[in-house]
Amino acid sequence: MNKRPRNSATGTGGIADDRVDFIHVGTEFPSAISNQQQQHRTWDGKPRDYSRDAFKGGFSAGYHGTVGSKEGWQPTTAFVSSRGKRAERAQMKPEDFMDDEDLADIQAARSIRVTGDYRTDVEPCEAAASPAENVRGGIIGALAEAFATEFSAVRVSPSSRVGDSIMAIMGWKPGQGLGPLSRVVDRYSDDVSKRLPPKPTPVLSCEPKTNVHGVGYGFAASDLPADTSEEPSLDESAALPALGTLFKKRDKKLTDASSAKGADTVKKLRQQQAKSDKQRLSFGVDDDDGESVDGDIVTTGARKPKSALDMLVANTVKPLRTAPFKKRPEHRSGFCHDGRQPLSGFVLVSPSESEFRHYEGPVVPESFIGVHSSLKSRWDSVPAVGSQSKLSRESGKLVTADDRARLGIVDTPIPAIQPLINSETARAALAGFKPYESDPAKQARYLEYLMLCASSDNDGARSSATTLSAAEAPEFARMAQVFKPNSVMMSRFISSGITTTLTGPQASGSKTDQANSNKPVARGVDATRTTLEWTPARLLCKRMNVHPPAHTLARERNEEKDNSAKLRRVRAADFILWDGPEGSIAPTVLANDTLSTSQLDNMALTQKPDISLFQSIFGDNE
Amino acid sequence: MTPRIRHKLEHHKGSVNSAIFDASGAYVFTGGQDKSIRLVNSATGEEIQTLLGHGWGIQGLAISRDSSTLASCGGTDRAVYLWDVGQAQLTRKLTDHAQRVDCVAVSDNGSIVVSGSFGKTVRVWDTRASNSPQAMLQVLKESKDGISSLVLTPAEIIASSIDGCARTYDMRTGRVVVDSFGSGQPVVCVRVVSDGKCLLVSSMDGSIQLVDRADGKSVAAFSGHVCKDYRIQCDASNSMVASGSEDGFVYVWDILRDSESGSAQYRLGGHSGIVNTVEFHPSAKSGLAKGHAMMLSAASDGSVIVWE
Repeated sequence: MNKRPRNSATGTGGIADDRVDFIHVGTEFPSAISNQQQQHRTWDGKPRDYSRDAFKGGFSAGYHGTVGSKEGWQPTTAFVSSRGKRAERAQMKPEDFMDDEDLADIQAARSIRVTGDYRTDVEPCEAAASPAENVRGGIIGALAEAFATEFSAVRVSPSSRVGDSIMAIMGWKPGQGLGPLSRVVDRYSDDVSKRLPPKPTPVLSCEPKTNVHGVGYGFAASDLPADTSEEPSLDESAALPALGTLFKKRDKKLTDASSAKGADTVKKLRQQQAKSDKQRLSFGVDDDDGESVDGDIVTTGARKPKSALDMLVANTVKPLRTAPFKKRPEHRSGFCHDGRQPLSGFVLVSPSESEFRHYEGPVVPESFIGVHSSLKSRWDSVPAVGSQSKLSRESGKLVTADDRARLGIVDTPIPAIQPLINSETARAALAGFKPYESDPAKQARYLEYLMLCASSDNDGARSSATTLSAAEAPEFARMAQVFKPNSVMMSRFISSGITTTLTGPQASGSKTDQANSNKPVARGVDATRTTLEWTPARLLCKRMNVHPPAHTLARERNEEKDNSAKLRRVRAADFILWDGPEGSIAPTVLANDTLSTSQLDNMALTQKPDISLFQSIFGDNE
Repeated sequence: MTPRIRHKLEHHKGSVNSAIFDASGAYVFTGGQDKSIRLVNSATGEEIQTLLGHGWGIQGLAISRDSSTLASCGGTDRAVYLWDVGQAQLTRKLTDHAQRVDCVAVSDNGSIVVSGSFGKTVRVWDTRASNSPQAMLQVLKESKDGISSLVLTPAEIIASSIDGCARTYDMRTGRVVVDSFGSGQPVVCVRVVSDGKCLLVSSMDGSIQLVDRADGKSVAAFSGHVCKDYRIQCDASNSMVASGSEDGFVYVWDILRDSESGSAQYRLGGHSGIVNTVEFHPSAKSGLAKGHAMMLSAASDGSVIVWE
């Protein structure tokens, strides 16, 4: 039995139709397990094809699906009521009141710090206990200390690092590198068993390059060397920027290339530097006496790759020069022409070198005739053969008519000026507004053109005087059409030819002269008349004391007859707004209806509406 | 006799858009862009009263014959204000227009007010209606563009429109006579002249025409003033036609003499702005006594001149 009537409007029937009316608002809740997983689950957790009625065998036969067993089953003895516990309130933690955003904030605020033993930013003095012995290898000299300082910044005491302790278990000692041991042949004892661990690779700290400045920045005159006798030092821009900091302590002594010797000095200094560098940064290969400190190192294992330090050494043989050269004040030849030094960072090129010899041009033979194609653009076409030579001969003189004829230059015929507008228009335009106020020459040409058109309509084309040009004729014609005044003005000038209009300021109250009294009356344009019908409002006619037109009355009568439905609606509206017999009705709903005021007045209700009103509202139809 | 300036009144700040004589001619009402309506004695030139209440500038003024009802229409107000002049108070606001109301006219007894708006409609109001919805009697929608000026005669409503036509709604015959003038230019002003036989029509092509109402033929045409961009109003008395102009002069034509040439008889200076409106004294219109004020003109520089 269908409790609800099935409507054809809502579909064929069925549950699906009910869902048609549902409006889906919002998004689905995400469940903890995915859709797929949900599909694989059954409502009670039993396997999918579990059958509750068929016996399939099994040890729990008889008790399958129950709590019971052969021994029986006892329910839990004590019934523990949770009533008491329910009264207890669960402790509310602040996290319960937090939403995802707050929880995320907490997570973000949690910062992970390295505690105690695991801290890496330990003071250098702590770990500087034994830098030298940690760093294995043959680095000797003043650099060792510097190196060690850097390295120790990232080193911690060996015991505190877990990785270190692990490696120590495996046989590593702090200060060693990683890799296979290299066999060392002891020179003295020929003991091959000695094996050396690989050198440690330095931990690079990437510091930002701060010395990004140009020539002359940050250097005071006092920084620069006064003489070249001191040892040259390495500059800052080493191959490895990190190690550039190593050399900060050193003096910024730069070679001076401003001496008279110039490039030679530089070269010499460079060589000196290289040698001293070699002496300095030697990995125990060559001692002063040429002997190696640790003996010859023969690598029989894998070919040891060049470490970064090695490469650094190689690069520093040829130092890159970015520091500015500062001119030495003692050299007088280094002053500029006004006696002052050049700007800091600039080197004065020796004047002797800057002069270059000026060589005279070749001697031009007498019979040479040059062809000058000066100022000719690429885009010009090549002139006719033969004319070039002729023109060049006559360069400097005006080209006369004979020359033109000789050269074969043909003139295109000058077009005649066509009068493009008829004479009446021209005359009218002459009387009207004159354009080109700002360009009197053009205005004069315009007027001349108009005169031409006005005076000789039938003469056809005529060749112009010098000023008028045929190109402007269409433009002038257009202007004449535009500024031709309308017929009201025209009428003034019918008989008197071309006169000027009433323009310019006049004394107030001046009387203009009337030429003739027999002129035709200035007439405007006659109006085009059309007649329509309209119905004045009844009240309007009443107030104006005017009898309304006949067709209005007839229409009103007809309208009243047709307004039954409207009236009913009106009455209903009035009923709703009616607040009593003495109340006034404000039929604002009716503002758009075409009922006149009088009809509205008629419909002011003072009595209760009849039963038909109620039936129309609560009735069966619609 | 050349008209001379009798009084130059500069009470208004800003453009004076409308200036009318009252029915007796003793008083002058001016309404301007400064949202005030000022009542001035035309003989002495002194300001008697100021009516404030408009929210925006005033575009048109009209007064009934018995001076009981002054109607003013504002710009963006979209309303017609009815004033009690004796008390200098606003009695009513008639609001139904969709756009700004540009012109207004009042019937002789003051019971009917007709207003024309930029929204192409002319609305007829009943001032005696008790409540606002019933005040609007009719809406005339025949125009295709804004209404520029209105005249209310005892039996007709004449409206000129920017679409270039002047429409005469005759209440007795129930007909609208549409006169469209060939130039297609907006008609800015329409006035009734010569005991209702002619219509004075001013359009934006710089011409004023005298049109016979019986057949629509043009009787005379006057020109010389400048009317290209603004609504410049004109008026006609028994023998003269006057118009404002955008060049700051008041142009006066003698109907009989100047109808041949169309050029102005007088060109009166005195304003320094666009002369918005000109009106003749009621006595000049009816052809009675002379000797007092003859003409009124108002301009965009805030000056109002009473000519004699």
